[in-house]
Amino acid sequence: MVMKRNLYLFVLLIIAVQNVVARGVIIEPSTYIKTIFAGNPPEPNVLWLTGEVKQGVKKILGHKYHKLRVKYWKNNEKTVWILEEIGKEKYITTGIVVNNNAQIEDVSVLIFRESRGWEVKYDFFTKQFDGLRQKADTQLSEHIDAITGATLSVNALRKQARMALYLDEKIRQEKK
Amino acid sequence: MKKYAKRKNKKHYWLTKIHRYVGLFGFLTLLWLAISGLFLNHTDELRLSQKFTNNQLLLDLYKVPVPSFTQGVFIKDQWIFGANNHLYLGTQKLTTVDQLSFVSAVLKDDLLLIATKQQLLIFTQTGEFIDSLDVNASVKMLGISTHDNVVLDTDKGCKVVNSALSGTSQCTDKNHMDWVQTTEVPIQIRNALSLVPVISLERVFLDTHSGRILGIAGVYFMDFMAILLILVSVSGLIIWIIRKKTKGKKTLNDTD
Repeated sequence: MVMKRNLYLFVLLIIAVQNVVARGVIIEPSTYIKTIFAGNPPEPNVLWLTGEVKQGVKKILGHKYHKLRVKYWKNNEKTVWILEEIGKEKYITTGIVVNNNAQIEDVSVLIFRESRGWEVKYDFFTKQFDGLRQKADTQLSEHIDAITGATLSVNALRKQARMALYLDEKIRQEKK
Repeated sequence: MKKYAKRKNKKHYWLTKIHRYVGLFGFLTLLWLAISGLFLNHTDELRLSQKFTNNQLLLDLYKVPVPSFTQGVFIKDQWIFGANNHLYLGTQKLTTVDQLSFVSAVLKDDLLLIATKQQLLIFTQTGEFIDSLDVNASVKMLGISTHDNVVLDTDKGCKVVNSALSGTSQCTDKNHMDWVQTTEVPIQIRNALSLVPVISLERVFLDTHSGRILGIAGVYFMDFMAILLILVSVSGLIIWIIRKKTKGKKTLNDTD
């Protein structure tokens, strides 16, 4: 009986510790930028979310983006976007790298503030985004498998990936 | 007959003594009850329900936690300040992001820049969130340089924000900056946001009148004082009757 109770307590302790450890800064956004650009990051650019772009983002997220402008870092090979979207209650900050072929090269959860759904930060999940493109309807070119118990966080990351590809397309069009 | 008069005089003496000392003891309370009663009778005319106290002693008696976030900046007829880890523009709450500790604010090129301890936040003048800029240091002050750039005084030295408000670099000289000074946010603003529970003067008068301001002990004290005042009134009446009777007898004796 005592053994059983101790086991329950141990399991509860593990869950509590896991929740605390799972939350917070995983990689500082500035460190992420430096890592992606091999220690030599370019100056950040800003894209104002106005007019058509604002509407496009609203369509992807299902609501207005919480900022009026988005910062991005760009060199000749890739563009890095740091985006924020609410999972259930709090923002998940994610770094997304889009290469010159308009394909996702990396998705990394940088700051996770929610108490649940932290599984999305692991490679087994984020690797699914690698190589994905944007379809004509702004959907991702491949299906992303969900994680039981982390549906809202998964949805947030899907939306962030779509938004990064959409914004990347917009800055390419601007350049032309 | 003499014995009876002596006993009566003794009774009269004690009654007068009780009347005097109880009267003296209850004097201040009676005075306060009369004054507070007058104010309570005219709360509407004096608008006591619309006036609020910021007296620390009274707020302590009401166990009101006075927040320590009273510093803010007054820009274009609006107060910008932080409270309970949120930022406010007047009575409007800015951003859904919590855990923001306000440092200072400035208006630059029609943009509202708010420095928190960790970030510089950019808003439109109407409070729409534009962007945030990570400072990677603990911000102490916000200001404008002589070259009209936004500058931040941090624990890692002075930082100047670039004109696109997208990055920072180290300042060369921290001394020639126009640092924004914060001032205390008026209590009316905080009351309007219900950041401080509203304690009106009407409530203060009512509670001091009833003794409730000191809790249940205050109520019992006022009950005690009320009993004493009854005693004073009754003893005063008895003394007056006795004296009147004695005076009447004396006059009769004198005419005899």
